[in-house]
Amino acid sequence: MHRFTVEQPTTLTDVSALLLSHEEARVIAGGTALVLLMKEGLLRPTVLVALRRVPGLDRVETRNGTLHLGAMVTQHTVETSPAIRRAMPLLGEAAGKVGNIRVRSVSTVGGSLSEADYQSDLAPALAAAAALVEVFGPQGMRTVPVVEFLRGMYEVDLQRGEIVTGVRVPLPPPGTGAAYLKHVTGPVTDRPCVGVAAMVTMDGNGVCRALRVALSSAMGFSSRPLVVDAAAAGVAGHRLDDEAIAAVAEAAYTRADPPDDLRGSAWYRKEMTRVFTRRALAIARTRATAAA
Amino acid sequence: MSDATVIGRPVQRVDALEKVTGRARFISDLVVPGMLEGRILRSPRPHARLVHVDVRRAAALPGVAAVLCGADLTGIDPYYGVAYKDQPILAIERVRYEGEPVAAVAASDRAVAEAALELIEVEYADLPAVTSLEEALAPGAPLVHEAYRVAGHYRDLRRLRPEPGTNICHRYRYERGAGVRGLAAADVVVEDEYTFPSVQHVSLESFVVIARWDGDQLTVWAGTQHPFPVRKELGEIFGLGQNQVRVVVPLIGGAFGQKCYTKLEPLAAALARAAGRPVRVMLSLTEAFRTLTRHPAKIRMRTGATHDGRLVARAVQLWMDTGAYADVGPRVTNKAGYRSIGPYRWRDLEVDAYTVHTHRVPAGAFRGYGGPQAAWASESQIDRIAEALGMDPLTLRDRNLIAKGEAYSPEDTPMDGDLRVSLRVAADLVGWTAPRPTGRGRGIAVALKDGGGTHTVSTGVVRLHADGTATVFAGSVEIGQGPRTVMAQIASEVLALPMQRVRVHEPDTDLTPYDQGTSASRSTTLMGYAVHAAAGDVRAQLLEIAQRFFEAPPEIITLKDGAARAGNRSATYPELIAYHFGMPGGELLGRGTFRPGVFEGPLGGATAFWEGGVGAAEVEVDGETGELHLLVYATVADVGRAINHVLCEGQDEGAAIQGLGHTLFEELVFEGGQLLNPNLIDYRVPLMSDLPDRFSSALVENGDGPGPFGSKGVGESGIIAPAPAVAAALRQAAGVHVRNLPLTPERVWRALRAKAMGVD
Repeated sequence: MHRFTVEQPTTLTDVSALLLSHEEARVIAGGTALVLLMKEGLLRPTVLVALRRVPGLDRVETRNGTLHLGAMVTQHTVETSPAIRRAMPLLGEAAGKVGNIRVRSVSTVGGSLSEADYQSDLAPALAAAAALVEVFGPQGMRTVPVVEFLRGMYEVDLQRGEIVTGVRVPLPPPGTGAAYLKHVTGPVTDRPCVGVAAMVTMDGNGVCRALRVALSSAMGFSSRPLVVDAAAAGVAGHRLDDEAIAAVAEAAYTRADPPDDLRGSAWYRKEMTRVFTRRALAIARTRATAAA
Repeated sequence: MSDATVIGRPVQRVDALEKVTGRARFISDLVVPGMLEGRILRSPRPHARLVHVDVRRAAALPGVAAVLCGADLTGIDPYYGVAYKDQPILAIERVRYEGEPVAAVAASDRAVAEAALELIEVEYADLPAVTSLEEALAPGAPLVHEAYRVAGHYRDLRRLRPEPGTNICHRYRYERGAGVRGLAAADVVVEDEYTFPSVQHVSLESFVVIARWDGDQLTVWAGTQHPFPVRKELGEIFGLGQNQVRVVVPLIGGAFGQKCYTKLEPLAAALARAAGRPVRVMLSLTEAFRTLTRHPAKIRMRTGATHDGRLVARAVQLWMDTGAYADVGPRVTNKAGYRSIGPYRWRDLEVDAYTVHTHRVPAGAFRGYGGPQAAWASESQIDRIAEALGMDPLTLRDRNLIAKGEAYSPEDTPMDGDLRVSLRVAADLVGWTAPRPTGRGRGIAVALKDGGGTHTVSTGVVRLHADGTATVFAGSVEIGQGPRTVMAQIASEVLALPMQRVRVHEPDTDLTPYDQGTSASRSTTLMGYAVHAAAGDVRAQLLEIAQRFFEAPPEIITLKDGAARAGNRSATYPELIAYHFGMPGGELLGRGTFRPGVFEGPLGGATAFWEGGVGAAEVEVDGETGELHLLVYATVADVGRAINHVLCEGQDEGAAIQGLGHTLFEELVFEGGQLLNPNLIDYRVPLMSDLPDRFSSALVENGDGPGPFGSKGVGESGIIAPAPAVAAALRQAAGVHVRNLPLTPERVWRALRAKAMGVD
């Protein structure tokens, strides 16, 4: 590996300043993606800006109907934290399927979003939950919806000097159920061929009040999840029966434009978006009914 | 062995503690004072002429001690290879695969060496490439090699049969009875074409070599399975006597055949010579992917049987893609061809197997050595026959398996075990006769390979020191499979000496006597034979001394716990040695050699033993996604006698899990000669989390192996059975016959769709 220095600032302002003052600086959190790219010589940052010493970035808290996750919260914490499990089990379900325990123990929420790989577990879950990404930079703090933050193939809405500090996830109303399904074509620890997160809110009569499905690996090589909501699928205000679920699955299938890669052909993947959208919604519906 | 004290007893492996505590020093941990780091510049083109290689800027970089390219390899024979001396240490005049070493740098550290690589300028002129079997075999295809120079290292690889003007560098042929014409007499004939993917060994530790010159003495610390053949080849390349080359093998982190024969040793030695300092060449895992793979294969097979379920004839055509250099491809082809007939009784056989060059990473030895490719077709066709006859596949196998003592081939060693026992044990483990829930399928496959290598030699030496401790000198390489433990057990048992007093020396060609290599599951049987004989030699000397010491007849003398006893008198080994030499010094030296007794056979020698086993699977298939859920897998190995049960089980279970990799998802993907997934993100191997819901293994021990104490080799049969067993289970569960591996969800899904449209 090439030579580099590691900076360990203690404030976000210093992080931002370091990123602005070094052309070839990169932020490092868990390093699961960055270090691989560096070992392969695909990225050669001269300065690594570690976030470890910036206080507060690993916070998990719920206030004003919103779950806040700091950028340095690990996937393992998302998977196991009782607070997150209680407030937003969907996130834990998705994070728990990332790689293996060693990866999850160091890979972070902010790092995963900033890497912007199209084969993501967490991104569709956050998109289905309509999460916002918090970004700090020279102009201060701003927020951006996760589906807009993830702009393309390894491309995110971050300007120079900006970093992700966390995500805000609105807590769903009662009667909400969600599910994340990861379809792998290799070993169980493989990256997803297709990842589908579904969240539905139903009233006591089984009528769909809100529904959002988000899929990874469904928009070419873009990191942006494909999102289909109740309105787009024409099921808002309808009973969420099997037919309605099939309609949503069909809408996802129609809109999906998946990539062709080692984990599956575009044809197979597209077919799988329909299958897994339907299955994820069916589980979400059961959970919503139980939660109503 | 009811009276054995060490053999078959729950003995902990001798390196267990140092390995689990991280104290074990592997070759990657070894530091030779003053050593430089060597790095390799590799070709980005699959086939190109080297127009111009300019290393001047790299050589001028501070910290760089030597830079070499093919043109610099003067004054030596720069080619090496197992079958043909066809592989240059660094590409000469042209490159033949993407990833081929073109130039190399030795520098003060890895970063400097890598910076220097970027300063080397190479101009390539692309040449037409053949990057698949189809392209390589097409009429008028560009040739990977125009001429061949036979290496002559091994008896079985002296008579090679290249087909001039083609990319076929060797052809193996086996015929019995009426050959292919025998199919005409069969009541039922099935015909299919199968493919087997290119896969990689994925040893946790990649290739590591350190070379040092002391005048005209060359010392090489190498992560190799073949220290003696490497010594010979280094001698030939650099014009040195075998006593001028010393190959030492410390602990290495996995090999699986990838580290068979010469690989990077000549390059490290050439760099060290040019730099005038020791040089280490340590490859990344990605580079290991560009060093050696298993042969992808295409197999066309026809099998014929009678109405009452008797197998009668088989015809096989088999093509093995050996990549840009032959490596040991011709022998792998011989074995794939020979093994493609399977462990059954036949009347007529005809096998044509071809080793084919392409512009891809060389393919060579890999656990099972052509066996997995051959059995994928061979066992799948047994199931096709069973289906055609409406017969239980277990019954069909049981009826046709060659019995113990029966010939596999009339010219070869008779079968030494009873595979029908293994078949029954595996069937019980998978619940073959239990009611089958809807949507589930079961499959079973028999694995049999000639074991022990083709015509090999091993010598062992045992030294019993004056203090009653012993050192075993055995050239078997510890690659995780446990020879350090097993050789100690054998010597300990024969010498009647507690195991803690026996140490096994690491392979060092200056000290340990000749051993052909650690491959073909041969160590326990053949080196074990030599160590058993060497220890027996010492034991005979002890008994002779004890007779004199006690002035007693031999029949009343016994050896136990490091002492001789005669009646109520006893003498420790140190006392006997001191008595013998008249001083508390000296030592007893024993030696033993395995030398093959038969010099001919279908593989160029007689099979040392038959390594066999059975695998059985139960699966469930998701009809919408093609996902194959492996519910049960059972692996059974006939080991003759287990000298160490835990090690035997570990070998067989590890082999089965590795076999599930190529069965379910492993495949190297090439596009236009470019390898697309040479890393563990995109090339995945099975982990413990991929084990079936129920995974079990069993050892069959009938004490009928030709090795010490009735043992024989284990560790390869387990990798052979998974693919055909799982595919047969898939067939029963979902009605599809998939002929190409791996059985990925998408491949199964496509087969299910094709079936729904009426295509088999």
